[in-house]
Amino acid sequence: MKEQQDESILKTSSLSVIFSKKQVLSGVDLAFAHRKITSVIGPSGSGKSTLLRALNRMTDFVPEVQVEGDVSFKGHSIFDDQVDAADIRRRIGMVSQNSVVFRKSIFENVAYGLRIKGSHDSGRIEHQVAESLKKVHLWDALKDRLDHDASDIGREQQQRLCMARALVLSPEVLLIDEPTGDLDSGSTNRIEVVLRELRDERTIVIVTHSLHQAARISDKTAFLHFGKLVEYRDTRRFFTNPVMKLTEDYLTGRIFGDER
Amino acid sequence: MRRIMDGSSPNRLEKWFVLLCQGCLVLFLLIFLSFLLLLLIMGLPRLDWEFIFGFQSRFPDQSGALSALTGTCELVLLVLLFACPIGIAAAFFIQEYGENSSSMALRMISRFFDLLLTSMEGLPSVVYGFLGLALFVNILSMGRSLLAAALTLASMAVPIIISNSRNALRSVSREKQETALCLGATKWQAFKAGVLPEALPGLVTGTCLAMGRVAGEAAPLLMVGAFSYMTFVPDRLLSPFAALPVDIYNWTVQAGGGEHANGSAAILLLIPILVFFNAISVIWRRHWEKQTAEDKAK
Repeated sequence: MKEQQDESILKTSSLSVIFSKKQVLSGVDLAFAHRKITSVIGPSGSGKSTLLRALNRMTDFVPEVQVEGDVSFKGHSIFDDQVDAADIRRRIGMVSQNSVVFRKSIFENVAYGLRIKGSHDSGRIEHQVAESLKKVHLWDALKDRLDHDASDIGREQQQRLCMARALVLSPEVLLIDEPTGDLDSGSTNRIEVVLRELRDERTIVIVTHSLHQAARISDKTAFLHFGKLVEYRDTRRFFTNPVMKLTEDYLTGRIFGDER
Repeated sequence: MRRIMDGSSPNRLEKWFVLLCQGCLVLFLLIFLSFLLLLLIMGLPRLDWEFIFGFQSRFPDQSGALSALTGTCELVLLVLLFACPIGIAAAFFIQEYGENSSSMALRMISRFFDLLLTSMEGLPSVVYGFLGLALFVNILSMGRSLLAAALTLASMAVPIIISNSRNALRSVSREKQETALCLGATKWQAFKAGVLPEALPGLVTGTCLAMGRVAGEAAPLLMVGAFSYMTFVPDRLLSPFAALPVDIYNWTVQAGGGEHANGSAAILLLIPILVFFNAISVIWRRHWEKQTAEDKAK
């Protein structure tokens, strides 16, 4: 039983997503390993971000969307009628591609998730905000200007702030779309250090365009191509000894995506 | 390429075109300035404290516009009170729950409303006057009252506010709303955190523009029975009312020069009210655009 939970805290079975009659994901079976980092790679338009959004029911807000198959979290379907979708999103946190901060102070940005959940205990909120900022190594840099506008800090710090904002809810899974997007190598490195530390406590799924990043930080790598899962295995073996021809072609730069 | 550079025919054509555009602009300015001049010449001598704070009289040179001025201000406030919440809430519902809904039925309903609202926005004001007379004055027996007039103008303002508010909501980037949803927010919480702060300037300007439009309407008020001769300030919801556009109309259709001067003076009173609403919207938008640009530059 323990073995099973360790293997797959989050699991998709024959997951298909159709946006207004266009099939974006078809029949994806993936089991995300507990306390590991999984990278999802693939060309543009291969359905990586859609997969991420289906994992915490963000697809609920997309008009004309059809989700088939299932996603199970700790053995229960997240699409079950009795499941509170907002609760799922708190437990399976997500950080989106562009570091999007609210027009609020640094403190209020991080505290947002707690406030809307209805927490009023300000001492506890302060403590949790501080803990989250420490986890992303921002506490020392920002502790003296928590009341400053969040848009005053740099892009890379904003990205870590967004991670802290998701972490304040202590999610068991963290989904991150392009954690380092267009950041320079120094900033990328700082974020990757944080990700490696965070893995000790939770499962992390990242979508990335950078094969190097996937190779550097992830324990497992999944390759999507036109909505289909091509290959999913341990990162080291994925990069050194891919089984599928398509994977090898992608890794060696011989196929490109549907560039939209 | 060289032909354009060395001043042969295409370049000359462009010169003529620019000249034509400038000519049109000058013509427009001339017409506008002569209107203004005419108004000032006719109305300014009449526009004194006695006129602003006086009531109607059968002697035109002793007449004042106080009841009409307060009537118009009260109408604007009441319309704001009725139309603003309804208009913005409806826009919110159609945009957030209807148009982007995953339910087919809701999307159809929202499309139907879309059509309905576009047609309602295009209805001439006299039609609203007729509907107001039938519904508010007669069927709901409010009589020729301030309330009936305000409700009539509000029904006219609502479609305008909805359409302006929807444009404001539509133009906002949805990233922040999505971020809030990812953090477990309800749809309303996410709207409040992610969309409202960005859409607010658009909502305010949209409402102000609608107010500016209905404040200057005479036709619907004539139909719901605005009084042209009033010697008191309308002080209750069901009291009779006067309004500046109606007074302007009544003074202007009369033969005497004194009445015409009163009409012009009343126009000079109405214009600042209309300009006020337009100015608020312009200033708000400028201010907000500047702030957003500064945010982006950071």
